[in-house]
Amino acid sequence: MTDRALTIDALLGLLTQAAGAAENGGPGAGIADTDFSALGYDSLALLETASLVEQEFDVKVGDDIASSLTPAEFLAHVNDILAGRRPE
Amino acid sequence: VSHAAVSPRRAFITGLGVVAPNGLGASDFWSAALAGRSALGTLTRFDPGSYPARLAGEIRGFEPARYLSGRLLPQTDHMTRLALVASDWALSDAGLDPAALPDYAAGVVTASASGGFDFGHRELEKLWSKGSEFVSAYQSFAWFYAVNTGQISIRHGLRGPSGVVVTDQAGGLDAVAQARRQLRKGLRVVLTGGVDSALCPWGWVAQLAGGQLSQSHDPASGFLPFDTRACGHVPGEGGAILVMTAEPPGGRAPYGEVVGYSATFDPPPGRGRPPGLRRAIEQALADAAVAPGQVDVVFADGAGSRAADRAEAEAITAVFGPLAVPVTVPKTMYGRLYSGGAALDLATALLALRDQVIPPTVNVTSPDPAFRLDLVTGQARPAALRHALVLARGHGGYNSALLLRRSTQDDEERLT
Repeated sequence: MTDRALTIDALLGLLTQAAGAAENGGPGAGIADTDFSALGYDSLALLETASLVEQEFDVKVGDDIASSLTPAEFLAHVNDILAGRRPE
Repeated sequence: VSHAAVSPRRAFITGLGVVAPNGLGASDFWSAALAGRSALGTLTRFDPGSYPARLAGEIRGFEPARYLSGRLLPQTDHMTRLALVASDWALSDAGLDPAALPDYAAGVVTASASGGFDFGHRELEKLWSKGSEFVSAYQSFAWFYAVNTGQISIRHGLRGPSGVVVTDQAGGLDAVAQARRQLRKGLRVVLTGGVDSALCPWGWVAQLAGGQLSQSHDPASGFLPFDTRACGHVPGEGGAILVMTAEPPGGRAPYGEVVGYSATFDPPPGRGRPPGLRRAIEQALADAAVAPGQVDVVFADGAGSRAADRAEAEAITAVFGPLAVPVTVPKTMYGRLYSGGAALDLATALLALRDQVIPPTVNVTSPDPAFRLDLVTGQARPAALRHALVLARGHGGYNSALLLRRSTQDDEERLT
């Protein structure tokens, strides 16, 4: 399919672009598994971020990505689609 | 059954948050208002050169990132950012920590006229130039009438009964009246008022469609309510958020108290029935059990068109008599603010009651003598002030009148 993948740093950049910087937990090792709610991101922030991902990678990630609980879940969702493991 | 008749609960205003073209914060605004400092000028937000109207009262030097988190900026319209900052200042002025209140004891009731135009303008531009997938998810609420109420509620954890009132320029008074109803029903604190802005190209076109905008290019003669040269109004942006409480604050006097209110609606044109402003004034005074002779100053709506000015002057003289009460229009310094206008007039009236001085109506040098109004023009006028009446009218027939009473230290001590 494609060798492109979304990295945690790229995701944090898109989150910031879409919805502003996280409220807690700066760029540390644990941020991927920190709940979005603890970072101050709600489902609209995730939808907004998802639309930036769609524009950047030219894929459809679907609205259900907004129910991701952590950045790691969000990343897995997107990268499964990019790798062809999950339908667009 | 009137709840008011059995309830001793009152409606004090204990904190002011002002965002105005001629002053950010109540203190700067009040200095400018007393000095008669105007903020009207040619629009700078965009180039108005190809539009028939060019003058506006813009807030300059407002840096939202100084006050609001990065999380809030992508999801808020300009007017909401101003409203949030005004709410911070109002709470701070009142010395009130919302976190110290019981849950659901405090609510928010703001006025709105047209929602977040500037945000909507940018998203519509993305929609037609790039496609729907580029439109911000935050557009879903950032434009919405109730968004200022919602964002203020979230920011300060005010989870009591809340709402929004949409009655154009009358909204600032109608929201405060709704806040008073909520206090009477048992709320302890309500944040109320209104903050507005529609100075983007889309908002400008929408305002032009109303047909009342001044097409003057001269800031000194573009907005002249009650003047024989009146030629429409100049729009502005901003407003005020007020903290209202059912109990007087401990240890100091509140700014004042809302003691009377009424709203009426004009009959459809051509029915031969009189407009409703006079009835609104009379009913507001009756609500407060205050006689016309006890009113010390009137903050007029000041539409700035000959017919609307005449109608307002007739209502004022019908109730008070000719030349019987000082009338002022401080909005000549910053324009009509729609849902923010009457809220800012209330804040101004409360500062006038506090300092016993009436801010001037600027630029009006030829008031129509036929109106028989004692218009406070030129410079501020010291006066003994106990009751201030604020009038507001909204496009389409809304009339509202709200009476404020000064609260003195004596009153406060008697109450506590």
